[in-house]
Amino acid sequence: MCHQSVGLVQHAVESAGIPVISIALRPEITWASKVSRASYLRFPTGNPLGEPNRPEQHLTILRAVLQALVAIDQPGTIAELPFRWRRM
Amino acid sequence: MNNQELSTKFDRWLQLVTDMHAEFRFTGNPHAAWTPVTKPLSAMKIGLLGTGGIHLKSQEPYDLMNHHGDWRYRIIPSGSAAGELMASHTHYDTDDANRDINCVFPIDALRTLAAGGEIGGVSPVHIGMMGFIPNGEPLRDETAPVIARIFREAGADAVLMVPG
Repeated sequence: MCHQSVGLVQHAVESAGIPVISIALRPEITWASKVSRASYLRFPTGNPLGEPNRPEQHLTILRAVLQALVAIDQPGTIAELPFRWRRM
Repeated sequence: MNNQELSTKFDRWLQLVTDMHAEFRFTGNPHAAWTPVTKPLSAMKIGLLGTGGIHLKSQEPYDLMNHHGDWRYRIIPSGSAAGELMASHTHYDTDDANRDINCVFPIDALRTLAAGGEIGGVSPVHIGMMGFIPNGEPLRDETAPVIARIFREAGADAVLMVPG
């Protein structure tokens, strides 16, 4: 349901003239929500940026998501990021 | 995933949620809104919104007992230390988030990118929410426009939104 909530706020902020990218852990909900841009991560809920106390991992994910923000040029795009979940 | 797979998975999810919350009605958007990105990342001031039940420990937690959810928001000053934040949410496992809020709300990583010049800066305020909101209409009609105004007034050039 977090994805529905993100979708509704994303629509309002994007409509107010601010580009938005969201992270999608459940891309089917993001897809049904119809949002501007999203990056799909095959990570569990509770860990969209990865594991606790791994700042380098958080930076890697954040950089990839922000690259998608500037790279996506079609409304409604959900770009899958090339990371796989594996707990250290 | 192609559209057929997404559609099948979505229908399965919708059935599951409706079985648990009979009053649930999915609230989507009529179309994908679009504002083009016109600046490079290195010139953009980025705002952050997390729906993983994010709030300052000093702020009132979200109402986790209301089966209609809680569609209020919390303003998070972007200079807040990660240790000042916590996650209150009963619909995902918050153990990792409460060990390190950056798992669901990358406030430190954003600061690091700004300090290194990879992004132009950080919005003076971020937003915390608790995304378990079965009735999306008050969120859409009341809260979402206010959040849009907050990010505009903060001068955010783009916003990253992160679910729980």
